[in-house]
Amino acid sequence: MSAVDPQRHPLEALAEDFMERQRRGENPSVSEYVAKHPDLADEIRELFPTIASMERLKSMQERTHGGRVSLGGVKLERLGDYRILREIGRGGMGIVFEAEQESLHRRVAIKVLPRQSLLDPRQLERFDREARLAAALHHTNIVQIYGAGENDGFHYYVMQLIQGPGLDALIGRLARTSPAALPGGANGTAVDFDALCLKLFGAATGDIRSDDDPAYWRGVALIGRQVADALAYAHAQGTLHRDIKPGNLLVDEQGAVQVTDFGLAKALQSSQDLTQSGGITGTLRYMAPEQFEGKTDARSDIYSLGLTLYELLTLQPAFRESDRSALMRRIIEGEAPRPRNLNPHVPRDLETIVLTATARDPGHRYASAAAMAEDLQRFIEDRPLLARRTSSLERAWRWCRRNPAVASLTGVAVLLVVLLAVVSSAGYVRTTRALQGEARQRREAEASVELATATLDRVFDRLAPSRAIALPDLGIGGDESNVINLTAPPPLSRETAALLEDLLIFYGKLAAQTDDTTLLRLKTADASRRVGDIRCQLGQYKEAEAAYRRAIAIYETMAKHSPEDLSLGIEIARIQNDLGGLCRISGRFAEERSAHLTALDLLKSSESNASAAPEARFELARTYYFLGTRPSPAPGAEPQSPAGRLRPSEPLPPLQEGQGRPREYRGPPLPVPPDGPLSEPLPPSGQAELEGPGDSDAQQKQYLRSAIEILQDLTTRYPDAPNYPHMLALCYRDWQTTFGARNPSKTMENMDHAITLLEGLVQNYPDISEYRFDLCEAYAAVDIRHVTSEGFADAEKRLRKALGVSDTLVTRYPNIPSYWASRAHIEHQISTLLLNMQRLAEAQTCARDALQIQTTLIAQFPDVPYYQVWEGMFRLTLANILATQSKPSEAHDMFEENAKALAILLEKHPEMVFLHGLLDQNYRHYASVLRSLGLHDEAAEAIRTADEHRRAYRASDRR
Amino acid sequence: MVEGPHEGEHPAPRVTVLDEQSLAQVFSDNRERLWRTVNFRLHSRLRDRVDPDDVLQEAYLAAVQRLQHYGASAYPTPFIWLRAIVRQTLVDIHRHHMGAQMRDARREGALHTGGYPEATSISMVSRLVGDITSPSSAAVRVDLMNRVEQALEEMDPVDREVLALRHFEELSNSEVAHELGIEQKAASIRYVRALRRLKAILAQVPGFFDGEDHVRS
Repeated sequence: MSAVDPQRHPLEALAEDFMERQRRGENPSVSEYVAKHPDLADEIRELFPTIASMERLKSMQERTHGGRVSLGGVKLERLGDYRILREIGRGGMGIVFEAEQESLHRRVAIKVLPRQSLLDPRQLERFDREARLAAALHHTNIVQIYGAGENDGFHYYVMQLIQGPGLDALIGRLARTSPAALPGGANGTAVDFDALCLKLFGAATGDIRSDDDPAYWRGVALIGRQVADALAYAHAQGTLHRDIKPGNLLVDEQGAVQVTDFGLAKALQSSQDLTQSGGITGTLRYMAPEQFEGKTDARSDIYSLGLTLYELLTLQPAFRESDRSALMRRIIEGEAPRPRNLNPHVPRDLETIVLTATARDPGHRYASAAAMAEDLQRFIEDRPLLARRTSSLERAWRWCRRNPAVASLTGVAVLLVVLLAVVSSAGYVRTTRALQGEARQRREAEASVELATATLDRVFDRLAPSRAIALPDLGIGGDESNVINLTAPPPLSRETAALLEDLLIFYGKLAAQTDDTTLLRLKTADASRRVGDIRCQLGQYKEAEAAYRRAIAIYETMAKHSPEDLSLGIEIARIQNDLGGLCRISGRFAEERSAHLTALDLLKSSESNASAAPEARFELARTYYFLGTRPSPAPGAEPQSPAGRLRPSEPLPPLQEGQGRPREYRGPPLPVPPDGPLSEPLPPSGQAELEGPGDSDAQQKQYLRSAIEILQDLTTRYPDAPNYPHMLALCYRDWQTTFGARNPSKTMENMDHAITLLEGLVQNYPDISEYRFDLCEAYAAVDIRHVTSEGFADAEKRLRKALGVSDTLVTRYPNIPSYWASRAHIEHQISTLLLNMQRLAEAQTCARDALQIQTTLIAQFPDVPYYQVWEGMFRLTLANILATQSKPSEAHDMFEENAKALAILLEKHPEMVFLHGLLDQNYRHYASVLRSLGLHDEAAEAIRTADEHRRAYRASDRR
Repeated sequence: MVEGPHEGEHPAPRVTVLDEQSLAQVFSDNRERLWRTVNFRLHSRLRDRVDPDDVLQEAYLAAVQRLQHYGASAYPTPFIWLRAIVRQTLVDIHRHHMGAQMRDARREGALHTGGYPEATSISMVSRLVGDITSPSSAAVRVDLMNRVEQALEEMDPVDREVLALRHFEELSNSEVAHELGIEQKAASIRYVRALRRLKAILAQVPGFFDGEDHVRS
């Protein structure tokens, strides 16, 4: 490059040079530019690959626009020996001309490929090879290839000129979607479809759709047999066609079918073309499912021929999707509707042939094209087929084998239906026939109900382990129940959740069949709550809320009938707390508070009653915990607490019911109650449930303190139950994160208690991801804003520990969003710390990682506004790092983007006043970057905007 | 590596008189770039009926007719003038073929509003993805594509336009500056910014910048 042009962005000038060289056909390397311009090295490395992609995109786009190729503005008149006469047609890969070979005075068809299509030498080699192979094929139903060549940069191949349309045009005409006449006939005349149909089907187009005309079906079979013959011949020569479709099957003037483009279509198509729009979808539509995995053999051609015949039978494509992704999915999933369902006149045997040819599994298709030709011939001669019809049961079985995971659940559902049928008929018998056998019938019915219930229970236990709280010995369990057996829950998925939800109705149906409905209603409610838990973990908050509310409704109805049953109240309280957690996630703090207060109300009787049922006291402690850690609605204070982040309710580990009586405490030593924060004066009791949007710090502390007291007592009494120390650890941890910031002189003492407890739990229960997660969050609970330079090393150590645990979590449970959210926060904290430590390059990497995770989360959960708030925070940090790194133009863009995104978010959620604070900061930093770029007017404008946000933010604070 | 100034950035002194012969020469020299404009902007629904070559032919005739106006016009180079005529021809053709619902010229031709042919961003994405992913897993590719599709849809129209002008229509920086009515400096900043945003979008697609075997590093 010559001297830098002050009129241009230095990178842009280089970029232009880079792209111009590509356009000249050079292959410039990125490193060459990096070496010459070390000052721009980062940006060159970052952006040049994208430039290269854009240039390649353009070439491809020009090659085939809208599925049709173009020669890029060049008018062809002659290619070597061939004089171009007229264009016959265009396909996805080339333009076909009629031409005269002057030396031989013969008319030929010549397919010309766009200049850029064979740039890759490997592809060129493949094209040459395939053309030679195709030229070696001599068959009455194969278009003869004469040879291939290259002139003026255009590759082409020369073939026999067929005066006739493709089957695609014919099908279009038969389906009446094409005009009566199309160009493509002899000497440029229009095709006479009636004459053609008379040859093929013995009837003109106007007549042949009288549907059950046997001549038509025979005509279709004859077409199929000719193609199958051609395929059998070519396959025997070792040549696959790879792109059989109606457009590649031409009907000549004699009514014979001619297969064209043998092996060549696919040789020209690099794999990438599969994803192109337009004409390529035409090819995609007839591709065998295994071809998507790169496997192709003779049976793939058979499949494509089968689909072509399908279309002749039904006059519509087997897979009609026009969107290519949907189309590919449909093909991969398998079977199309049976032709006879679309047109009942289709002969059964012809349908059998088509279904056999198009079986999804190649092993179920005709083993060879010759075998398919044989059956088609048998159909024409009205002899019995060799192919066997597949029963519907077999089709269902094949489907299940392809989808084992779903099928096993589906199998359970089927079993339940069968059992229910037994139960219902028995019930009917029971009421109608009061005579002999009644007792037996009844027993059978009851047994079936029991079996069905047990089956359901098993499914739920396996897929949605109950988070039943630790039940201390209530005289239920035997000796073996002392062993706490915590097994890792299976991986979750949305499909599982949806199926479980469907299974819920069976409990209802079973309840209708038995006299003892209470148990089943309890089970329904419990199962519903478990579905809610799963949904919650998967981040499907709306569905989770619906499931929770359903469970509450059932419990409440039951509680009305038996008000003396206290356990129902505990259940309701528990779910109310879960609901509260959900509300917190979606920022509905008022609703959250009212949910927890409802729970508190239900549990009041257990308050200050050490002899109350332990599960009631535990739930009470949990309620206090939630109330005590509610994020402060005060704007500005960046919510550092993990609880203030996007934590779903704390799902507790699965425990077996009735699992153990009190034993010696064997866990880590229990910390003494933290006396520092707890010794602060408490508000007079009774004011804890003050009306109003929130609770004061003191009230929140009181809640937490109460929770800790209850949990310490429970932990001492029932040392084997992991839930108690777990909850206790959360209380310590979140005490620190909720109040620690306002008391920075206080050490991390509480946090260390929490960490000790959680480390013990992770060690004893390595498979319980929740413990690990909470430990990770405890390590990460470093308040970056208050770390002084002496604390840097310790803070980094803690955060790196957290990152290590997080690694395990996201690797083992990649579809739990809160684990990812947590990881993003850890990365963000580290980046902030590194920024303070002036380790800028590392800081940038971490900030980018955080941002990327967050962006992915938002894409998955657009309904969680907090994810977007945090994204804004992460972007701000990244922009600050870039600014500190003296990359003002990148920082500029980042600030600008952030301002835009935050403004949109604020518009949607005006209640999130702290966004004003974030915007204030963003604009202030933005202004200094603008100043450093010499843009003083814009900087002043940014400061004004910052001031506006600051005012709005303070105004809300005062309110 | 080619050193020195680029044709587009340091144009020769403006040609003020254009006769039919030099017009033919300019047209022929720039035919490929003009064709790119037509090919890129021609509505997908018209492709069956309208050949880009015919559009160029029509534009050429229009240019001949307006030859005497070139000298007095504000177009800095004959190419930009020709390109404007091509754009106008395209607008007329779209208007003619697509009827009333497309009559608004902004939707067809005018650059400043980012009036793309409908499918542009989608086909742009599909090809980018097709370009860079390995052939092994079509299903993965479909997923990637959907994600990039969404992302590109969200891209700022100005950014998309700048990228299209620079890459698909092969305009130089100064030509883009003229086209958008901004300073050269601003045009180059916009281009780099758009490129950076595109890169940021693509970088979110897992695996996009892995295995870039087609770009020599």
